[in-house]
Amino acid sequence: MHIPDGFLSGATMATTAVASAAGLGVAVKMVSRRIGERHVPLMGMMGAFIFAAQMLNFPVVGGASGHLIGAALAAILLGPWASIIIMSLVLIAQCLIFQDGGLLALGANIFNMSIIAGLGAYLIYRLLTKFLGEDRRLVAGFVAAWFSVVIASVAAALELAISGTVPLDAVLPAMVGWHTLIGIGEGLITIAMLGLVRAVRKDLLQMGRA
Amino acid sequence: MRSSFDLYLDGASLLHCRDPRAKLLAMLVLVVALVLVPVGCWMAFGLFSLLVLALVVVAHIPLARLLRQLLVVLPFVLPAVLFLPFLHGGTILWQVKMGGWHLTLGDTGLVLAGSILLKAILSAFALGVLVATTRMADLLRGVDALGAPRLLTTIFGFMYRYLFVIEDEAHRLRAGRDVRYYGGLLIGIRSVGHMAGSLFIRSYDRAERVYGAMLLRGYDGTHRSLNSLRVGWADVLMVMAMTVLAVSISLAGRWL
Repeated sequence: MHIPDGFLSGATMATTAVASAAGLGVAVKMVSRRIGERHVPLMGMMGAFIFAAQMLNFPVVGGASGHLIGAALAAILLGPWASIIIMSLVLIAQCLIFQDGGLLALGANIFNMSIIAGLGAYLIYRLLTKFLGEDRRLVAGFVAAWFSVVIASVAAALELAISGTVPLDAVLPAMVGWHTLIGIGEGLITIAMLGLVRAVRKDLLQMGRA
Repeated sequence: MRSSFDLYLDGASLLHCRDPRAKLLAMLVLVVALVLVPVGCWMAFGLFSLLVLALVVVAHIPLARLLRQLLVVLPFVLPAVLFLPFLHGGTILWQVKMGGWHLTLGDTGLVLAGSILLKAILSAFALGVLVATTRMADLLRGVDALGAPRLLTTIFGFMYRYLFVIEDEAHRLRAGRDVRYYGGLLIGIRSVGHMAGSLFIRSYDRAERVYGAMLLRGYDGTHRSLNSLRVGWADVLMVMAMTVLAVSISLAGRWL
């Protein structure tokens, strides 16, 4: 879903860049209010963790393989603002290291996969745990992870359509249809991971609440 | 240690010696001018290709490295670009009927696809020149000096430092899985989840250990560095030359 340079119009790039900068600014404010120098190495390590976790791929069919994206995971584990910072830095690193996603499309990519996906996943997770009860936390985690992938793909499709690159009636069903499936994988990985961490090191799950 | 992430190529070229801030600005100007070139201005794309190629030559970037970069960019760009010519109409160049489907290849889409492909590749190459000639630590200090929030640059520094370590950890987990794995999509997904879980716990514990070790060595939350950044005449000249070149190519391509 990393949009390369060339696909978005100037206006779309500028708008999403401003929105992302604002969102990231708010996240920095919220996070620096709560964390001390103690959490800086931890946040960096969590970024490296998300980055590396995306490389754990699993075979789907034929030669194709799927992997984790991690926005929901980060939001559930670390809270929405820390997850925005971490996912944005992961996207910047991927842009610099692999040239995966364009430099000027970075605003859009951060907006979709870090801000929208992270906040969306966190909202859904909190709402569902409230309605379904804490016992069904894994269901909430699954839905939140699925939702984060799908809503990011909707945002990407809209940006591509607004830029005039691809007609909306072609790109929206294609992107959303494909990511509805990918989201199921994301949801399953996320709950398997949360389940394991809860069984082994329950204390680590409290970070998002602190 | 695997070094698949470290893209810095040691060297002493004209570009290696420039101030990271100047390089960042020059590259940004180049990419903005390139991306804003209107669709189908082949003249401008040609000149920009020459400019990027010149940078590649000056930076002594080997051809194999460029091809590898291309292999990363193309899988994302090609499928999208292949569909575009069929979605935009214009003068019909080719048409087939498959069942109830009309597949029409139009020239508008073809021109758009070509332009997008060139923009994506050239901008990736330009970015490649930047990271090949600048150490990540210097780049971070440049970004920091340009006014990025300190919290972000510090966290990024940590992340980049430990990417290699955590990646090694992930590779060990994956190798362990690969020799034991016997198939099944659901089992595969579940085991990836469990691997991610243990990777998370290991990373968390490592962060605690690293923080403790840093405290012992006097860490107080600020990042200190021995050598400071300096902007020289050559840096100013490079940014100015790049701005003039990029803007004039962009404008010339529009009017010629």
